Amino acid sequence: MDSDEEQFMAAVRSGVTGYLLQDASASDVVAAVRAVFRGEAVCPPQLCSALFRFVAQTARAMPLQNSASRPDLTLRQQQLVTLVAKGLTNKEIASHLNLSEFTVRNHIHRILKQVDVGSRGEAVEAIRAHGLRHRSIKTSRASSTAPTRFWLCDSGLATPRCGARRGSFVLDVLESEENTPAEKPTDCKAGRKNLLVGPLGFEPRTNGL
Amino acid sequence: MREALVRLFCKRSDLLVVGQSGHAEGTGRHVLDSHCDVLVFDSLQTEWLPAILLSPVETMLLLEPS
Repeated sequence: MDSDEEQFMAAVRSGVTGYLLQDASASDVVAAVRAVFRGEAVCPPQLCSALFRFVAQTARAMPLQNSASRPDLTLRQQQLVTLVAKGLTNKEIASHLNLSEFTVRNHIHRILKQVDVGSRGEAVEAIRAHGLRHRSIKTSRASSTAPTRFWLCDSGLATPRCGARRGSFVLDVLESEENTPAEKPTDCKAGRKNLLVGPLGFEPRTNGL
Repeated sequence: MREALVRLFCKRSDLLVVGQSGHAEGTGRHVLDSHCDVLVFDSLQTEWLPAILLSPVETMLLLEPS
């Protein structure tokens, strides 16, 4: 397995459902975002063989693996585990999710039982190890008129703008059509919520758009 | 070029960029709070990624790290 394949497989193991090579075009990126939103996987053809080989090897190595042993958590339970993983207390979780502390305790008790562990930390580790079952994607999603909401994140290795420190972060929200690309504030003087980190190290080609 | 990608996505009415960042500490919370459907990133080297993986952000697109 070469380094590209190893990188790709590490991403798949991490739960990534789409992967694009650096030579992807702009339209490839857009198509990939739409595809993963629809619940499809995006995989470069040249890396598919690595995936197939890995599945075949895994099947040979673990023929008796019981998928039923994986925790099948509800969406609420998944939210709770996420917050537990961040180290929040029951009280903080209750406040975050607008639940009573008693309800949170109940949820966590059930999660511990389901995962068959004795502590919150063990539950988080066990769930990480097994991975969560993905919620089924509603088919109505694809036809929804609401825009797909997504987040862009880069490695923070870019040249900072506006005197920002390297890797610094300010939330940047594009709120509907009011912020057209031309109007979007992109420097510190322009106002609130600026983007401070630059290149992704990935430049989509724009030819043919 | 994140700006280039933002401009690109802004031209599509079915896509809405709700946030963008480097992988600084604290980003994970912002990503979760954004309730985004898709997370696009170019690095797996983030401390907050495990929390994201356990979150309802279930669709992630990785641009091949350079």
